[in-house]
Amino acid sequence: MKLHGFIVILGSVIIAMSFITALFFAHKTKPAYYRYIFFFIILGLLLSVNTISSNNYTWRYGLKFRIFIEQLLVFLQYIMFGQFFSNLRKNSVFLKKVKWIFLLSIPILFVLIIAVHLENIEVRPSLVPNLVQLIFCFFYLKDVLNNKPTVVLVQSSAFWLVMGIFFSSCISFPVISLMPFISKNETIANLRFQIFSIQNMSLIIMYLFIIKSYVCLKHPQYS
Amino acid sequence: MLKAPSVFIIVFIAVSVMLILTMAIFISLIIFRYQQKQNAYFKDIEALKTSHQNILLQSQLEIQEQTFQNISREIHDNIGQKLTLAKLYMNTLDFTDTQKAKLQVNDSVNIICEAIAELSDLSRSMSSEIILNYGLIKALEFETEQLAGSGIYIINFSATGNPVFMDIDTELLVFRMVQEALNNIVKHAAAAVIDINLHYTGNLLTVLVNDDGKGFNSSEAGHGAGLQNIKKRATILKGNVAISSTPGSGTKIKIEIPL
Repeated sequence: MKLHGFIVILGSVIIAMSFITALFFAHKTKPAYYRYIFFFIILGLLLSVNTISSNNYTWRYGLKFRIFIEQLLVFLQYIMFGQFFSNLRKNSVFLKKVKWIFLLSIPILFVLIIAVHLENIEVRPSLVPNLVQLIFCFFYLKDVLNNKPTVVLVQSSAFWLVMGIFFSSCISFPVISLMPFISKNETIANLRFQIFSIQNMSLIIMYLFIIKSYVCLKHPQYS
Repeated sequence: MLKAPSVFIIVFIAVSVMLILTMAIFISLIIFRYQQKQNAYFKDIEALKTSHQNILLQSQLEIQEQTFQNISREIHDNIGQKLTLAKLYMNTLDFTDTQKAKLQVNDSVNIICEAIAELSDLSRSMSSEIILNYGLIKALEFETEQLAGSGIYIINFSATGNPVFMDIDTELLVFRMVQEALNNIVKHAAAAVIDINLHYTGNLLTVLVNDDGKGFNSSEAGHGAGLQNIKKRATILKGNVAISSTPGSGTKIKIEIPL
């Protein structure tokens, strides 16, 4: 088994674990934004299935269709994240900023997905979600640090969710931005896989943070 | 067994560990900064609580002191005077003139009866038993009936909304506030009609005490001890008091107490 294949399998296991954790806490009273996180996890599972199937089987629909499915799932995941951030901190200026940026980014992402699919250009559409998520995370942290510190941060489920997204976006954004500049030459093909593995590892950590946030629901704090 | 060259795996592990460490440091810094802020925030809240408690304690002491002064004045000015007069009558009894002595004894008995009645009124007005037994609305009804019994005032008392029983301390403080307002009217207002309304909404009790007396200029700074006591009692209950009055047009006191 190759390293990136191992990381993909490990990632799938972690996503499945987060799905089980989400099911375990399904009946627990929790903030409304958790429904988007739940759909996000389901979409993550579908993404894993898509990746594993393309790695192991010759799919009759071909690579282009698989990439299109992947980008569609990433798009839906981004919608879920947008909804999550929109419901995260009500009654704050944070919400206004998030809504506007989110609404503006959706058509950009959509156009990018279509363009990549039709023209087969190297730019990755997930660049947009990662950048926007980074901005949202900064807004959230700024909001948390500037408002009344009434919650216990280490027990705040929202905090761990945002930290997970932040970590993943921090690593994914430069990786995805630089990818078009790394040659597809055979001799350094491994480098692409290494970089992708690091990006996948960041996603694994994000799902671990999602599990942590679910565990925080044992001591619910609505912030 | 992983097939990737070992150098790649080492680089991967090194980069991953470095990134995780960076993230861990970042999260720790945020939590540390947040906790510092939280500690300062809780300290501020504690300081505010202590300061508020000190103010409340001081208010309670001042109200207590004022109450003692009122009792002292009542005993000295009314009951004391009457008993002194009765004692004077008794001391100057002339048993040779039985007719005059009989009149003096009768007067003394009447004066002592008045003194006993005043003592009884004073004792009843200071007692919280009526609140304990019947609640705020009934206690105020008794109080207003008592005052209306003097024949000087027409008192309209009403309780509207959805009346609820509050805890005994709250009811007692509200009762004292209305008593204080009525005392003020009796002492200073020269009013003929007094309207008292208790209005209960979901989370607020509004007490209105209006009179048609001579009023005063409420915009001028500083009120008498009675109005100050009403305000202090409202502060204890986290409520607020609004007093509006102009010379010649009576006085309106609005007390709002959160339930």
